[in-house]
Amino acid sequence: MPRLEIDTDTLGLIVVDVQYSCAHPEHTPRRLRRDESPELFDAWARRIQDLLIPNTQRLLAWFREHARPILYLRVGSLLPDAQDQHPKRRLAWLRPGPDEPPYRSPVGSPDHAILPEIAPQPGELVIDKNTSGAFNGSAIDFYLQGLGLHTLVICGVSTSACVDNTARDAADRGYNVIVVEDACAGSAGSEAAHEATLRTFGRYFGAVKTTAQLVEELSGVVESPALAAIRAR
Amino acid sequence: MRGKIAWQPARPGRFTIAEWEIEGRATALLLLDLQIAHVDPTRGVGPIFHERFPTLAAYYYARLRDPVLPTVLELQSFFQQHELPIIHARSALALPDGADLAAWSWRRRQLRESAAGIPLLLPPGAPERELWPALEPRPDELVLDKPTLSPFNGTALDQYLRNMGVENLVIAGLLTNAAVETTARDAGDRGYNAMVVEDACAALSAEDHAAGTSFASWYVVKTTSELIDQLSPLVDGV
Repeated sequence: MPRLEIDTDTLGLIVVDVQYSCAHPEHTPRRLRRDESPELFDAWARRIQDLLIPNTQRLLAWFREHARPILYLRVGSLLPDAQDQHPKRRLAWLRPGPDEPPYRSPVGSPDHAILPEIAPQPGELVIDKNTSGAFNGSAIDFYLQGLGLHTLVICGVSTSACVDNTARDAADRGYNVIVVEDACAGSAGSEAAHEATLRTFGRYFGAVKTTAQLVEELSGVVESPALAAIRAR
Repeated sequence: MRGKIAWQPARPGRFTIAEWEIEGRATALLLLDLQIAHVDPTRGVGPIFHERFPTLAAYYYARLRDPVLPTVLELQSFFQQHELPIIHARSALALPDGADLAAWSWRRRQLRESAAGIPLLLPPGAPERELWPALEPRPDELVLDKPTLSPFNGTALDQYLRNMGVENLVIAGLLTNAAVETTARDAGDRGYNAMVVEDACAALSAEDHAAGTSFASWYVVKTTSELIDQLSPLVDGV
């Protein structure tokens, strides 16, 4: 139902939670459940490596080349003991099994870092949140208003959790939102949840596009005077 | 009183929160978008649905008749009997032309373009924006107007809940995978013990309904009878 016109003057990119904790097959605590279904886990790892990372790199390149803002989100507790998180999250977030201790990757810990292949460059905003959705646990709305961003391209992990919550709330708050499906990944074996998010999002909240579709549409947009001025700086 | 209620269904090999301790008296019922426009098959979206999407209309209004609307009244009556807070959040614009929506949002453009089309965003004065009459909210039931799907995005609900001492939020209404799911995601993410009442919600298809109840993120899904059975021991004694 939503039909979005892309306004490049207000366009920003949000890369959600592509960190060691959530997106690296040898670091995420989900690796401890690999044996349950090695094929599904390895398919997830390949999706990150072969699809999410290259597509995110293409998006980053476009936004950097056109001097449009990029925001990175990171998920994790702000305090080492996670007391800033709600109790169920503190207890259960990414906890792989009943016999494993609660998983912690607070700000500053190695697993909290963004994957180097798509890491932020100096001058790009990194926002830490202790929730799934950025609007529930960070000041992102304030930053977006300050940056003058109304049209948001969103990608990252996990499709049906942090990407879904952030994209829904952004659209519900009035932003025009495009979710880039092939620059997102669910968690291993969660194909149905990934699909449900994309379907519901496209129906009620915003646009769902592939990286190729988006880049092609963006390259067809006539350069505005405001953008030309930015580029001329 | 405080006590444990069943929380997540067990998943073999996974860490699950099987039970969760709550204060039963800190429970509120949040009913979403149960308005004439969305409930009465002869008004609001009804005639357009019947004319343009007959299969959808047949499914949706049948589901409202059974089980959703009777179940909603059962929930409301349970919360009234136990003197627990009830909040109705309804879709409603504050200004006739939708100027209270973000100027750049596709919803505002849709409103302009669909002036003679599907009346989705109900302006002031539209009789269809009133609550479904059977709800008859008592004076102590809070009625919120929201220009958004989730009242966490378009009202001060979070602050009201904190002031009212609400920790547990029971969520029902329309549509399962739109306002209900978005609100439940926000409530759970913000730390409320969020419970969606599956048989008191409807979507536009069985597939959409399943999408809204199958992939819960920090909220849980219960039936009305499960919810009432589990809450009953914890809500007596004002």
